[in-house]
Amino acid sequence: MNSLKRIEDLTSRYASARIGAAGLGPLWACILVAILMTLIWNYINAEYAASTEHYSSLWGFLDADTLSTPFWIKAAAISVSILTWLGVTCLQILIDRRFGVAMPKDPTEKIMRFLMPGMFIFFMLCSVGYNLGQSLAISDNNAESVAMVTDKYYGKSLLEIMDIGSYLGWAIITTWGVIWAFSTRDGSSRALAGTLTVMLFPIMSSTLNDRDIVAVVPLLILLIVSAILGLIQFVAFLKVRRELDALSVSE
Amino acid sequence: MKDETTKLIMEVDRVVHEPARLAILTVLSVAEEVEFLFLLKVTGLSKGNLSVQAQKLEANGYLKTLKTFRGRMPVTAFQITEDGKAALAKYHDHIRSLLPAES
Repeated sequence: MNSLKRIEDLTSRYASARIGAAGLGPLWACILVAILMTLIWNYINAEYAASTEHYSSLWGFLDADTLSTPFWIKAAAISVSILTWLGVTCLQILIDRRFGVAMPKDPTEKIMRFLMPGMFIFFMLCSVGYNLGQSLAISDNNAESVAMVTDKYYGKSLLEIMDIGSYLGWAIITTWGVIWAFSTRDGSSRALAGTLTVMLFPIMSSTLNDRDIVAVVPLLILLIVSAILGLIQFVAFLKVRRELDALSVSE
Repeated sequence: MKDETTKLIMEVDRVVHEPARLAILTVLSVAEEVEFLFLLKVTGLSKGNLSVQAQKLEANGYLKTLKTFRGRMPVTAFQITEDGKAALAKYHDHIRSLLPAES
């Protein structure tokens, strides 16, 4: 029989180190997001080089808001969310294979299980509402009046005014985020679902512009920080696993 | 005085006092939920012993057994109950009160 203090310590350390695929979840997400960002960056550069208009810089080109987001970028962004979930799930199975599951105590777990998906839906509704408002209000000279819609879009249905692909992309990303955040019992994976869902929203917009880049960068930094913390967590997990191994051998 | 001490010793919760059950409750008290496999490894008990002791704790209302499936594999997990937490805390206090004061 092992000392009570020792098994108590090992249990709590193991429980907190194994969540989020032992910290490898954010790292996996970071790799996928890096691939996505490289694809987007290459596309922007190629389009900038091929542009016939004269822009002072690449930033100026993005600021002009003329670069439409191709379908493959939207599809790649959606796959990032799904592939991250798939990777985290598979890694977690591998990680739990040897010693099984010990869930850490988390008093916020029940609240966050409902709050986080609720926040995703709220965020999507706000984005849809804002963009729908913008679509209706837009005019050649960016007039704010919703009444402008009767001038420019007279006789057109709402479906013709809005960019259905973007709204559909948001709906898919949000639905996936909701399913992921609701089905997991692990706070670390839920945070990852949140970061990815919000980060992928700007990429779903109809055009790739400087505002989208500005919106993505802080979340990208957050993801990189999470990946670094995840690596530290993984080292802690390996340490506690070695100690558990030693415990099993000494039996 | 002697009778009182003996009475105090005899009042120890024997369900918790048994080493295997004490180890199980200790592990469960620091986690939300623990699977059979982890309990087996961390306590060093045999499968049979762990099953029997867990059943005794469950019969006393100190733990809850959760049976789920992971794919097609049945998974058994345990969760300490409020009664279990209270019994463990009471046991700690009881044992502390029986020990001589540290010099």
